[in-house]
Amino acid sequence: MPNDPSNPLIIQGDRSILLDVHTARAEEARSALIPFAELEKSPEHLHTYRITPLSLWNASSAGFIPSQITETLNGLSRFPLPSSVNTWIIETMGRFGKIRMIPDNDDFLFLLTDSKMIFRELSASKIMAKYLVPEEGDDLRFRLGLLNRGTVKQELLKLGWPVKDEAPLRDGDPFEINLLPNSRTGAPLVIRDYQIKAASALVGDRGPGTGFGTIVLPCGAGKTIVGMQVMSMLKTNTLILTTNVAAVHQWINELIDKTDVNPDDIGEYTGDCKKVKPITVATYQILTWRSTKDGVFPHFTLFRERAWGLIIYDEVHLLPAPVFRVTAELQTIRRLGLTATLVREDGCEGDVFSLVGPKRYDIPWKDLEGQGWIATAICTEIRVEIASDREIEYAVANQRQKYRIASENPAKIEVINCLLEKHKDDSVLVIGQYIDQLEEIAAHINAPIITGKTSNPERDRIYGAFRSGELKTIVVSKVANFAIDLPDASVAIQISGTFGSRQEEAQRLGRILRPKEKNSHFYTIVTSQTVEEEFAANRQKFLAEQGYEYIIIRWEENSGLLMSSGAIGSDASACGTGSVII
Amino acid sequence: MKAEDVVAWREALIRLSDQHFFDLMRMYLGAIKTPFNKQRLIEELSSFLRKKENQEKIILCLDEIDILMLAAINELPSPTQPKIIKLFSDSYSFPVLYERILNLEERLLIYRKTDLEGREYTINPLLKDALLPMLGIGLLVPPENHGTPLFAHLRIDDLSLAALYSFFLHEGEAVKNDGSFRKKTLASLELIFSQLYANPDCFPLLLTAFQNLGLFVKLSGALVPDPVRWESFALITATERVAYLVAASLGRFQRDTLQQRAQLFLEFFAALEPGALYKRETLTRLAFLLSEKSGRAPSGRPHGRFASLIREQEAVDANNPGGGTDFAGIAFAFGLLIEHDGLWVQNSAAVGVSAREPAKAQLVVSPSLTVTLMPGFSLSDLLPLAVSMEVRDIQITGQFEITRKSCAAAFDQGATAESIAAVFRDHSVQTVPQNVIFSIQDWFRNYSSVSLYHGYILRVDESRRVLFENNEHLSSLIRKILAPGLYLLDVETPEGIQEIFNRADIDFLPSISSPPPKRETVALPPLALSVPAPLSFAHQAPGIDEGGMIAHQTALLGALDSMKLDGDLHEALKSRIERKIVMAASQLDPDSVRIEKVEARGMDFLGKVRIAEYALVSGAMLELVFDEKEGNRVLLGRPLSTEKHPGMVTLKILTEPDQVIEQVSLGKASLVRRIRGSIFSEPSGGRD
Repeated sequence: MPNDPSNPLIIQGDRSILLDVHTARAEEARSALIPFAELEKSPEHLHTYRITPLSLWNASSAGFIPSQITETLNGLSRFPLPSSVNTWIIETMGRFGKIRMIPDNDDFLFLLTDSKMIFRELSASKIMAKYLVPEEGDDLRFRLGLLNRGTVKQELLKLGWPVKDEAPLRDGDPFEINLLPNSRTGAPLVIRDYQIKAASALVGDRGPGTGFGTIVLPCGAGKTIVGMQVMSMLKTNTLILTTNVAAVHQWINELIDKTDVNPDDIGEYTGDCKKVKPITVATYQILTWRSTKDGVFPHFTLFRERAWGLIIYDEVHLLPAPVFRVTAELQTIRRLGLTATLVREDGCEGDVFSLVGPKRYDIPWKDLEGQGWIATAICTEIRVEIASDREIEYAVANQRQKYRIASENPAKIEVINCLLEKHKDDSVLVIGQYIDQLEEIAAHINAPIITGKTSNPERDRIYGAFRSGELKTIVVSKVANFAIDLPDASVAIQISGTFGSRQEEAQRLGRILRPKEKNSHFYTIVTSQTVEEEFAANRQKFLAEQGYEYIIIRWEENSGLLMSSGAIGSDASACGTGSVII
Repeated sequence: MKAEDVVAWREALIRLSDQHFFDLMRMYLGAIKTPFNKQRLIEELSSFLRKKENQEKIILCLDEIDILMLAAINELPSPTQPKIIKLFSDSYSFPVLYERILNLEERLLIYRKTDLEGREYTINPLLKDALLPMLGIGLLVPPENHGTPLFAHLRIDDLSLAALYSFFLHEGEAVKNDGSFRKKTLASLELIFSQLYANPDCFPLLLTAFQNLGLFVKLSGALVPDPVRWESFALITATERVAYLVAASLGRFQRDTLQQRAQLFLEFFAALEPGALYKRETLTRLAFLLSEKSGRAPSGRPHGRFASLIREQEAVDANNPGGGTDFAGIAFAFGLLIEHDGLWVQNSAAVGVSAREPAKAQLVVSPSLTVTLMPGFSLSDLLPLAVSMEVRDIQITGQFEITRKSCAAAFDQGATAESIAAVFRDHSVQTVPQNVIFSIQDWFRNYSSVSLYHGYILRVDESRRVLFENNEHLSSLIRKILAPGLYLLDVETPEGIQEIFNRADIDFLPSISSPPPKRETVALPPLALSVPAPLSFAHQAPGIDEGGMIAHQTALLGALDSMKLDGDLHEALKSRIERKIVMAASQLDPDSVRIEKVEARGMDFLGKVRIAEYALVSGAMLELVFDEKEGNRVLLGRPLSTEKHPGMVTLKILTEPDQVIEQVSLGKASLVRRIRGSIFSEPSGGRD
C-alpha cells in the first residue's frame, strides 16, 4: 500500500534513505532525520542519508525511543517502511544502555551489564580479554584501566555493543576565553546560525554522552570559528592540533583577532618553537616525530603537560595512526574533530568516529552555497590531447608511469596560459603534484612556488603577498591542500594530483570557497584518452556527491577551447587561440 | 439427485465381491436370509438410506476429517485414493487417511466408481443433496487467522529483472566450468542484489527460471542474456512475467504446459484472501487442488527428439517431491507471500501490480555518472536503459552507473551517443548533466574510430593476388582493399560471387564462413487474467454437532450393553458403533456378526503367523510393530510372502506409502495386526 507519493523520503531495505529535495516537505524531513541518520551524499536532486547503529545509539543517548523514529519515518515516507528496517531499528536501539561504563577510582573504570548473556559474550571474547578483568564476587562487572577507555568502547562497538559512558569527562583547568563582538581588525564578528548549532551540538548539556564528536562543514564555512565558539563555551585549557606550521600560525592569528585571549596565553608547539600555554596549537607532524623508526614519540608528553579540558583535531580526516592510539587513551578529555571531507582513502572514517566522537553536525555544501556562506564554484574539466612527442612514451609505459606522463603533459601549459589570460584580474592558484612540473610552470608563468622544500618564513611571505593582492598567481604543491586560508583566491587550476584522491580534490576546491562577490572557478586539466581521465572521474566523485557539477571542455590546439552545449554532435561555441568561452 | 447417478451407485454395489457385498448388507440390514437376491437387497439398502432419520444420523456422525475428505472427493476431478492421500499428506499420516477412506466407504458416504487406476471414489448420490451444503473448496484451504493486509517491497519487480539483465550483460565470464558462479561474480551479486539474497532460495530459483525461459543462455563461461527474448518478455504484463517466472522455476516445460502452469499460479495467488494467514501445508494443498482441477493434459504436443527430451524432463520434474506445484514455496521465496507469526500471508504489494495506474517513471542522473531509477518503470522502458549502465545496488530504487564499458555494450547493440542520451533525457525530470553527455559522446567518438563493414570478405594468398587484382571480372568484385590480400566484396549473395568466378574461369568457390543462424523468438502468450475472486470461507464452516454425535453413540452403546452379549460379539458390534456404521439400534443384530481374530502380540508366535498368512491370502494390510532401542518401529503394508526357516518365519512386505519391499521376522514383532477398520480393507474373504 503506497503511502502519499508526494512524501519526500524513500526508505530502503539497506537502511539508506533517499530525500527528494524537490518535494514540499523536504526541509521538514531533513530536520527530522538529523538526530538519527547520517548524511552521506547531497547531490543536487536526491540526498542520501543512512541509519547506522552508531546514529541510532546517538539518538538513544539523546533520549529518542524506537517508536519515535519509526513514526517519523512512516510519516515522511513515500512507501511503507520496510518491516525489516522497522525490526532492525527496534533491535539495534534495544542494545543501547545494556552496557554501562562508570568510574571506579583514578586509574580504573567499571563496565557493567544486567544481562548474563552479554557478560558471557564479553567474557568469551579474546580481544576483550586483553582489557577487561571480571570482578570477583560480582558476575556481571568488569574492571578496566582508564587508559583503555577508548579502545574498549571501540572494540565493543565492533562487537555491536555500544557503551553508555557514564564516567564524567574531565573539565581541565579553567581558562577564560570569549569571542569578541568585533574582530581586532575592526570587522564585526557575527557567528552564523549553523556555526552556533554545530558548537551546541558538540557541547550539549555537558552531561554523559556529550562533549566529543566531529563536525563536518565545507571548506571556507568557518570551522575555525566553530572551534573558537566551542572554546568560549567550555572555557578551559585547549590543545589544538592541525596539519602544518602555516595552519598553526593561521589558528594563532585567528585567536588573537577574534577572541579576548592575551597573545601571551597562546603557545605554538612546532618544530621551530615549543611553547606550552593555556591554549597551545601544535602540528600532527611534531607529535608523531621520533628519532628512530621504533622509538617512542617524545612529544606525546604534550598531551599530559597541562590539564587540558578540550582537544581540537583540525582536519581530523588526516589524523595519523599514532595519534589515533593516543586519542584512545584520552577519552576523559572533551574532543572536537573538524573536517570538510570525512573520506579517507584508507577507509578509517569509522575509527575517527569511535575515537574522536560521532558526527555531531553536517550540512550539505550546496545549502551553504545557496545561503551565500561559501562561494559559488564553477568546476570545469579541460581535456587536452597528449603532446605528440609523448605519445610513444605513453604507449609503452606501465600504468603508474602512464599516469605521470599524462599528468605532466606539456600541452597543459598552453591551457594554463589561456586561463591566466582570462582570469588576469583574479587571484589564481596553480596546484599540482609533481615538483618538476610545477617548477617548470612557475618559471614559464613567472610566479612564485611553494613546495615542501620552501621554508616556513618564505611560505608565510608568499602567502602574505598573495593575501594582500601583491601577487596574483602562485604555484603550489600538495602542501597547500589543507588548512591554508587564502580568502581572496577565486581561481584554482589543478594540473595534476594524487591519483584518484577524492579528498584532495575537495580540499583543493576548498581553497577558493571563501565567500566573495564573484564566482570562483576550479579548473582541472586532464590529458584526454589517457588513464588520467579515469582518475579524474574518481577524484570528482566526492564533490559530485555534494552537488557540484563539472563541465567538460575539449581543448583544441588550433582553435582554443571547444565547449559542448550538452547536445550531442553540436559543439556550441568555440574561441580562437588564447580566448576562452565558458 | 440424478437418476443416472443412482444407477451408477447400484451398479457399483453389484460389482462388489460377494464377500464385500454381503458383509455390507448384513451391517445395515441385519442377518440375510436365503435365497439371496442382490437387487432386492440393494433396494432395501436404498430405502434405508432414503429414510430421513437415517440420513440425519449419518450427517450427525460426520467429524471434521470426514467433511474434509468428502469435500476433497467432491472437488477433485477423478478423486482417486492416491490423489486424496496426497492432498492431505502434509496434515495426516498415511494410515489415518487410508483407513478413513475405507471407513467412509463402509459408511456408504462414498463408493468406488472403479477399482482401476488408483480406485476412484465419488459421493453416494442418495446422500449427496444432504451433504453438498456442508462441502466446498474453501473448507480444504482455510486460513488460520485474518489480519490486516501486509506490505513488503517486492523482491522480484521489473527493476530487479532489468538490473539482472544489465548485470549479466556486462559481467562477462561469470560461470565456472562446473556451472557455479565465480567467486567475484557471486560476491557482486550478493552485494548488489541483497534483496534477492534475503531468501536463500530466491536467486537460484530465479536463475533456473531465466534459463528455462531462454532469457539467459550459458555460453563459454558467461551467462548471456538474449536481448530479443527479453524484449518479448517485456511485452507481457508484470503479473504475467512473475507468473511465468514462477512456472519456469519449477522446471523446463513445453510452451503449452508452461502457459498452463503460469495461469495456474495466477489462479492460486488470486484465490488467497487479502490479509488471511495460512499454514504452508494449506497453501500446498490449494496449489495441488487447483492443479488437479485445471486438468493439465496438454493437447497436440509437438513431436521430435527435442520435444521428447522436454517431455522426459517434465516427467522428472513432476515426480520431484515438492516440485510440480510448489507454488507456495516459490511465492514465498520470491516475496509474493510473506511470513507473519509462522504463517504465510499474501504480500499486498504483489496484488494487482499490472492493474495499477503506472507511476511516472523517473530517473536522476548525477554528475558522478550514477543514475538513480525510481520505482515505476516498466521492463520495456528499463531494458534500453539497462544496456548502457552497470548496476550498483538494487533496493526500492536502483543505483546504476554509466561507464565506458556499459556504453560500449550499448554501442555494440546499435545504440549511438545520441540515442543513449535521448533515453536518459526522456526519463529524467532534471537536465542531464553536461559532463555525462560529454562522456557518452566522447566514448562514442572513440568507439566509432574503429570501422565496421558488412559484406563478404575474401582472402587471397600472396601468390594469386596479382591474378586476382588484374583480372577484369574479379577486380570488379572489390569494394575495398582492407589489407593486402583481404578484400571487401561488392556483392550481396554467394550466387553473385559464383557467377563472377565462373566468368573468370575459376571453378573453385571456397565455402563461406558465417555465424550461426539467429534464433527466432516467439513472445510468451498473455495469460487469461480473469482469475477467480479470493475463495470465501465464511459460509462453509462445517456444521458439526459433536455433542449430538456423542449422545447418539452413547445411546447405541447403552443399547448394546443392555443386550448382554458375550465378549467377542459385543466387541464386534461396539467396533461398528465406533466406526459410525450403526444408525439405529435395530442394526445391532448379533446374527450379522462373524467373529475373527485380527491381532496377536508378543509371545503368541502362532497367532502372529496366522494373522500374517490370512492377510497374505486376503490381500489385507498389515501393521507390524517392533520394539527397538530408538523406540517403536512401525511398518505398514501389504504382505507379499512368508518364508519358514528353522525356528522362525519371515515376512516380505510392500510398505506403504514408500512402496519399499522389506523382509522382517514375525517372531521379533511385538504386534502383528491386520488392518480391519473397514470391510473394504480386504479385497475379499474378510470377516467381521
